[in-house]
Amino acid sequence: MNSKPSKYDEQSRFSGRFMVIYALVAAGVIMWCAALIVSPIWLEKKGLLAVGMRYFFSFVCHQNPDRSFHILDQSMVVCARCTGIYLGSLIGILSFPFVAERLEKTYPWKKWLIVAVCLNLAESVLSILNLFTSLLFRAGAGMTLGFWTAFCVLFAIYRHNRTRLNWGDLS
Amino acid sequence: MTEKPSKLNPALIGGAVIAVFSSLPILNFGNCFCCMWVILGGALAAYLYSKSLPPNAEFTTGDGALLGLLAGLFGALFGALLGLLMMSILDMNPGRDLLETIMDAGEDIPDDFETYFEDFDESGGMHPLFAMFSLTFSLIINSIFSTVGGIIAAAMLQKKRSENPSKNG
Repeated sequence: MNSKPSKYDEQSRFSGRFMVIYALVAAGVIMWCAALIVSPIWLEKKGLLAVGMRYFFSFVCHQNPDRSFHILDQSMVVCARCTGIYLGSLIGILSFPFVAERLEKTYPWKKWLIVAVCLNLAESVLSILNLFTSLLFRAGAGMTLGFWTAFCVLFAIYRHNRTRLNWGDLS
Repeated sequence: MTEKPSKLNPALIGGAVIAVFSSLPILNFGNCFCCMWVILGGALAAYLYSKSLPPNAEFTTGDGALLGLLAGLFGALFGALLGLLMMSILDMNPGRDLLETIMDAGEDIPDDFETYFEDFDESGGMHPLFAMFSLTFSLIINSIFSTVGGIIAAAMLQKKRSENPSKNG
C-alpha cells in the first residue's frame, strides 16, 4: 500500500494523459481566439469563410457592433465581454503549467470564479442602468471570468488525472 | 465497487433545459452571456447525477464532463426540433437575421452569398443547408460549453460531497 503518494505525484504531475488533454484544450482555445481575430480581416476582404464564422459565433454572442471591438472597421465576431472571456481563458490555459503547482494547495480558485461571475453581473447591471459603460471594463470583467473558468476546468482535470494515476499506482 | 446509476436521465433533463431555454424568445438571450443556459444545463445534469449517487459512490470530474457532454448533445438535438417549431409559430427567419447581422457589422456580404440569402428568405425560415449548418454548429458549441459546465459543477459538488457524506444520495 502506498501511503506516501507525494513523490509519485511530483513525478506524474504534468505527464501522460493530462498533457495530452492539456495540449488538446490549449490548441482548441488558441484556434478559437485566432478565429476571433482573423474573422473581421476576412470579412473585410469579403471572405466566404468569414460569413460562416460570424454565423458560428452568433450561437454564443449577440454580436452587437456597439458593444464590440473593431478591427479594420469591422466589428469582431463576438462582443467585448466574450472577447475578454476567450482571451482570458487563453491566458489562464497558457499560464496554468507555471502556476498550478504553487497554487494547488492554497488557492481558493472556486471563490475567485464566483467573484468573477459577480463582477460580470455587476458590470451588466451598471451597463443596463446606463450608470457606467466601458468596452475595456467589460472586456476586463470577461477576462477575469475566462481566466478563472479555464483554471477551474484545468484544475479539475489535473486532479482527476492525478487521482487516477495514484489508483493505478496502488493496484 | 458501488454500482453507479445511469447517466442518461440527468443528461436528458439537462439537454431538455438547454433546448427549452435556448429556444424560447427573450429567454434565449441568456446564451448571449457566454452560453449561460448551455453551461447551466451541463451543470444541472451533473447536479442531478450527484443527487442520485449512493453515499459511498465517487463522483469524478470525468463523470461531470461526460454528463455535460451528453446534455449538450441532447440539448442541440432537442433545440433543433424546438427551433423548427418556434420558427413556424413565430415567423422567425435565421437566414434573414444573419444577413442583417452581417450588414450591421459594417461591410457588404460576398456577392455570391446574396443569392443564398435570397433562397433562405424564400424557403420561409429554414433552408435545409442552413438547418444542417445550424445543427452542426449547435452540436459543436453545446458540447464544448456544456462539458465546461459539467466539469465546474463536478469540481464544486465533489467538495460538497466530501464535506457532507451523510447527506449524499
